[in-house]
Amino acid sequence: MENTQQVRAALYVEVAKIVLAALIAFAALAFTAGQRIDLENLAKGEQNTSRMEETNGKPYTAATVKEIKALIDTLSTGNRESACTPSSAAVLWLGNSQLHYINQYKEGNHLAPYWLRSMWNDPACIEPLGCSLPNANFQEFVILSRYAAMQSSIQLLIVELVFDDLREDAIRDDFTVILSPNVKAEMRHTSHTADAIVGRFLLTNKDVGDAGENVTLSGTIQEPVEEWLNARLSAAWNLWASRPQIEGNVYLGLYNLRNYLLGIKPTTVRKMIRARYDLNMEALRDILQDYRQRGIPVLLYIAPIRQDKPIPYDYNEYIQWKHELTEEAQHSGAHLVNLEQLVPGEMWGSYTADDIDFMHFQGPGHRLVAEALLPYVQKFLGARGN
Amino acid sequence: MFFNSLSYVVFLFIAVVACWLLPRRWGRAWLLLASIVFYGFWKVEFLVLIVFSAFVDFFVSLRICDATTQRARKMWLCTSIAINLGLLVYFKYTYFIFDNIGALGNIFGADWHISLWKITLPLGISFYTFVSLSYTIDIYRRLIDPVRDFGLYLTYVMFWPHMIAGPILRGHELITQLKRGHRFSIENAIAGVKLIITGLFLKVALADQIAPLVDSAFSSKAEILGGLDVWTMAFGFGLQIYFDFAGYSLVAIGSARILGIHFPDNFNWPYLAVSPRDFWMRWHITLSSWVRDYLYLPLSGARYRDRSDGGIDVQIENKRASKQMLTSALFVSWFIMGLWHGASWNFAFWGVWHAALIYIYRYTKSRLDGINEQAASLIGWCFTLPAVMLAWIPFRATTLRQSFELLSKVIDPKTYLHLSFRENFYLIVFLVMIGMLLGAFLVKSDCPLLRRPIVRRTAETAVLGVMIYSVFVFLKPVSQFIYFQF
Repeated sequence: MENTQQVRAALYVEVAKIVLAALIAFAALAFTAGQRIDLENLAKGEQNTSRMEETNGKPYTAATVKEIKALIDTLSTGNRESACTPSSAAVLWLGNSQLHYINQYKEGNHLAPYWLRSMWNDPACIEPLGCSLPNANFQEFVILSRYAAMQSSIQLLIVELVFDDLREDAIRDDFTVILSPNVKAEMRHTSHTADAIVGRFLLTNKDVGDAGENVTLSGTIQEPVEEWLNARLSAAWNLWASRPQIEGNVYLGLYNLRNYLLGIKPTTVRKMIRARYDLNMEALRDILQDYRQRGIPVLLYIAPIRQDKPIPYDYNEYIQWKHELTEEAQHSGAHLVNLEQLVPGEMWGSYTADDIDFMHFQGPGHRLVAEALLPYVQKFLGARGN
Repeated sequence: MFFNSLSYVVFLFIAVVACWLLPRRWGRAWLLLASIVFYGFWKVEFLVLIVFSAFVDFFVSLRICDATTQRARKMWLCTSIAINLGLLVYFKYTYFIFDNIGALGNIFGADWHISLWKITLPLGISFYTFVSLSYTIDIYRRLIDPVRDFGLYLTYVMFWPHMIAGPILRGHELITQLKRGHRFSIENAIAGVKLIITGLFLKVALADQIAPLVDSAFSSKAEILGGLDVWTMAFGFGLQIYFDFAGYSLVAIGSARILGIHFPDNFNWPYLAVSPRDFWMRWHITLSSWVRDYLYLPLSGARYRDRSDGGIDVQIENKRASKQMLTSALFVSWFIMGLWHGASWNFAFWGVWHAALIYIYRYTKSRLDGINEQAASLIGWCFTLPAVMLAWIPFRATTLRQSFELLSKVIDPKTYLHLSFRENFYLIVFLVMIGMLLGAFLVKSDCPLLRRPIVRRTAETAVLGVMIYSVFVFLKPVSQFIYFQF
């Protein structure tokens, strides 16, 4: 009898543990779901605004892989009417978020491609396609530059060079929309580097299909069932619908915890990661060689960086990188412009001791970049429409 | 159907509740129907294959039992083995065989390449082939009587918790439980739910979070990596595959447990192993026990066992076997076990690596005799952990060449001077490893404070709460379980 009671008591304890754990978990979930953090804003910094430029309702800047593909495709499908005879000059301008963010945005501010276009004698005769991705690395530029060259007639390639982006090497999943089987096959034939980049993309995105879908369930009966269940549950239960938000908050919490524990701040010096650096520089060399073979000029520029504060790079590594860039440009016949000191301190964001944005400047900074590049663009495109 | 999905949670709920509510005579039929639905959710057409494979073994086992001569018994056994292995070889190794024929042709300057039609690997074929094989071999060995009800036999083979990636169960372990039927039991329900939550946590909150970092690392060029990078990759993948497969096994064991069916453990803190032999008594225990009983012991001339626990135990009474036989059996078994994991020389290399570790252990263990037991365990652990982790390099690498390139970094001191990955990768692998060791300490510790019921219950509740939270947030079938591809 006593034994039965003990067993029963132990069972009650077990049930209580599960119930209590579930209650704690759901209270924590409800709390985390309530922490509405705009993850997109957080990633770009509170003071920055993402902007898209357009003419006659058609964009000519893009900041996601999907938008970039659509932008490049309009050139090949002849969707862009041009008032220029015989046709306008297409300039592919690759960069990171500096190209599409404006710090402390004010009415009338525009991105650098806009200013380049407007400074041209006949704006209809130039198509500066601003294609930028946050923290874009040069391996991603290889894919974009190859795709653009395959799909359309590019007259000039401008590449923004940011030292910090050489720490990146992931090719984001979204590139699936560009890397169709045909593009992959064509890229794999063009050079060893392009082949390796596609190979790495396939290895790290083995769960992603050609249409960007997750192939884990693709083609199985479970796929529509899973989607249906998720949709029904999301519609019926707010907490389930908030899962992406909660997931983002969890990652953000871990990120902040890491920074707090290790004392990492925006001003902390970020060391070069040799392996990634080498991969990215090899990718840059590949772009230069490919465009040289295609007879398309390339204009490289070292991106402006905030100069009124110590830059968060290892000084020697940064100097060495600039030296290497000069050599690469000379070797490949590309033109390199150093704009690192172009934008004065007052044109960057406001800052507190721990929070400084070294990457994104205000509206006038974009105009300065366009002005600085204009003579070189004119030189490369010659008298076309100018 | 994938365990790490909302569909599975709903499926399990319906399957279990219906099984509890249905009359006992319908319960088994319901389990078979649920298992067919579970497998059919992946690809309906392969149901025919699994039913065919099961029918062959069902039919053959009856013939073996009814055969009057040893010769006839052997012939029927060979028929079963040939059909089972034939299907496995066709679906899993055809490309591999023809690739190697092509490569051999290249050596002789001839073009022996053959373009093959597309062959889809049926989900779980390696596992259900082993289940079927063990059944007919056990009948042949007269360890069990054959089942004369095909529905029962098919339920044994197809029972969804173990069908796709184990645990690999013997006939007598599962069939008797299936015959007995099932009734609702709160103890089993609680134990099962806890196992499922723990398993899903290991998969979705740990394995799936480490996976992108490991995938990215293994896609790097070997020439730019250093020794520390390779060690981090090895430990990173070692942790990923452990959480992935142990997580899968726990969900499988938990799902069966809710129905009142007990599966043996498949993992027991493998990275705490103090010797290579100990590792294989803790890692994928039902597979290593299978290899022991159906490969290693018969090859070494020793008597087999008939239990899916214990793992590979080289200290089994083995007086009938010579040293030479033991050694060759060890290497052959592990070579086959490696290839069973995948049709690539990488896996064979991985298998031979483990055989070599066990071989070295056999001849060096006497050196530790006389040393304090705890010190010997510590020394053993310090050698076993890195050796086992490093073995994951060929397992995860895409080619044998990449494996050797990566392993060469480990023995080159010059490459240790630079790091090639983002700091987060080293940090996460380090913290997860420490977290796992700390978890093991807390679970196994005899410290009186930690043994106090109030402390233990509070800690368990808190951990369970964290796991429920994590599973809720991260549950999605973003990637399949690694062992599904085997």
